[in-house]
Amino acid sequence: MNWTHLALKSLWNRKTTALLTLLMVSISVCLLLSVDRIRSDTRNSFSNTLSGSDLLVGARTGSLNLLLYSVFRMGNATNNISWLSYQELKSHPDIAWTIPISLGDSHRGYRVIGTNDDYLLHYQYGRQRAIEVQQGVWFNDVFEVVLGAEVASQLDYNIGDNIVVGHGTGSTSFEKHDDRPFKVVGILVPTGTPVDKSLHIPLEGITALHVDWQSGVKRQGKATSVADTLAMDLEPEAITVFLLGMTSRLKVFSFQRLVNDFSSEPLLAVIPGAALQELWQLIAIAENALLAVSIMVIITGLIGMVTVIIATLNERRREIAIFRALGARRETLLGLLMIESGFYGVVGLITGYILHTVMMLLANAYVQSHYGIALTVGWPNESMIYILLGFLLTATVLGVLPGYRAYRQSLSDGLSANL
Amino acid sequence: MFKKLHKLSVVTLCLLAITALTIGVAVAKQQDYIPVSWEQLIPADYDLEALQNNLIEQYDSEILQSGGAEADALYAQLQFLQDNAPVTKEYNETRIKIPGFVVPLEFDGDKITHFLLVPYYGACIHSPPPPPNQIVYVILQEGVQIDDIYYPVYVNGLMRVERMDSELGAAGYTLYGDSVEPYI
Repeated sequence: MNWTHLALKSLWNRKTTALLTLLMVSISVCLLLSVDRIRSDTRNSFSNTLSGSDLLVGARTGSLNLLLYSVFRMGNATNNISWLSYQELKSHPDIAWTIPISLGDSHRGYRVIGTNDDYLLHYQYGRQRAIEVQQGVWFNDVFEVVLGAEVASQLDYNIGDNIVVGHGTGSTSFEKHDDRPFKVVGILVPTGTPVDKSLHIPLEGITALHVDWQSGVKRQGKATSVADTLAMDLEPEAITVFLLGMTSRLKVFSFQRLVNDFSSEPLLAVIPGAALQELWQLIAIAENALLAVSIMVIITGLIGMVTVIIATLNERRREIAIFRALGARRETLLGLLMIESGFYGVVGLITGYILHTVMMLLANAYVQSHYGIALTVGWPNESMIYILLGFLLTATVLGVLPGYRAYRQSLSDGLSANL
Repeated sequence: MFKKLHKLSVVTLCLLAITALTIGVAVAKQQDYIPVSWEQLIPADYDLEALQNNLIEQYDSEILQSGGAEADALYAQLQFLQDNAPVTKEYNETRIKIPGFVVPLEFDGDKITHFLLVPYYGACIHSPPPPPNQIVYVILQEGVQIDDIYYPVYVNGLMRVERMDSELGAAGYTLYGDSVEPYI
């Protein structure tokens, strides 16, 4: 009879214990795989958000803060850039293009972005991909809005709908700019970035929204009509940030210096990639802690597995004694128990991987809509494969422990009469 | 018997030859990259300090100390000098190996694909920016993951001196990187 077959038959005989042990091992594998996957998916979604921009300029704050609020729409801006400063910096000969962005208003929890045509022309994500209008056109008038893909699908908006923009960035706003609705003229292609969760209106639209507002409150009884608003000078007084591309990337540092030393206003210019790297070095601490915890869980799982095998040896005394009596040598017994622990390792790994894949697929919709991170499924990366191979090897080799014990015990008490 | 031995030794010889060839190619490939230091990227006949001193001498130092428009003008000219420092063509189209610090520009996932290589870290804030001949723009086919950008690396690749913009005639170094290795 085949030894593998025998080992599996013996395992089947103890199926409840075996199943629970298997569950323990697979959950520990699933945890490790998921932690690693979420880590790389988070990084991917962050790094895919912005591409091709050489500098990010905003009011003076921390470089991470500037990156987070302007590109990832996390947190709030600390201050604005005056329109004059923007015009002055924009006219520098080394600048190829700029994208002005004005933040601070929202629509049902989604951020409203004031910008201009340069956004469509120069904003890039992923590996230097430009954004595209999927339906309709880019805005061309003050009271027009272009929706991100997710805004359109979640709120069920179509071209031609009128929407009202709220003040502030909460999920609802009690003070709405409801006297000046915006008409949906376009919907962008899905990008998997915060662009999907944004509403884009012209910079002039942002100014127009705030025509009757003074010191943060709406002036009572003085509603300027839409026609009158349009007749006003809607040139913005300030923008929140701007992205820019240089004529040559070698000039990034000197222009950054120029912005940081800008005398008429305290401004900050950061290289998005460098700030992103800074962010990663910061979150690497948390990532490593999580990874360490999941490796600890794997080790706990393996120790648990060995404990279970050793514990079941007691009820298998007779079985092993019979093997011995039939002429099983030490190597055979070791092999038998290594097959068992190896089985836990291999099947635990496979079911753990399946569990992990199912979990990622189920969690994807929620995580995508709440955190904007697309969870992916796929084969583990190279370093993870080495860890998993190490896990398999350890699991199999650990079978030696109960195997040796079984061999030592078998003769002394397996055949004794008082069993 | 003898024949068999002979056959074996031929096989062994062949194997040895292949091994030697492989090692030879590997060594040759390593030697392919000429080590270059940052000083070598500044043209030998170029002396920024002398040029700057020349400029400063044209101004009255007492007026300069009080600041104002004249000091600004001088500062702008000094900056212009630095921004347009010339590059050397010596390593154009050569495979070089150069150490430096990475300032990431573009990512593919968590791998850096485009970055600026600079001779010292903190090129960003604390000191005036390095002149164009002390920055190398690196483009990698395969991105590289760098966990800590405070540690320097070696970049191996093909150096090209490219005219970046026609207007000012400024040129710069672009390195088409084959590999990035830690600086030891």
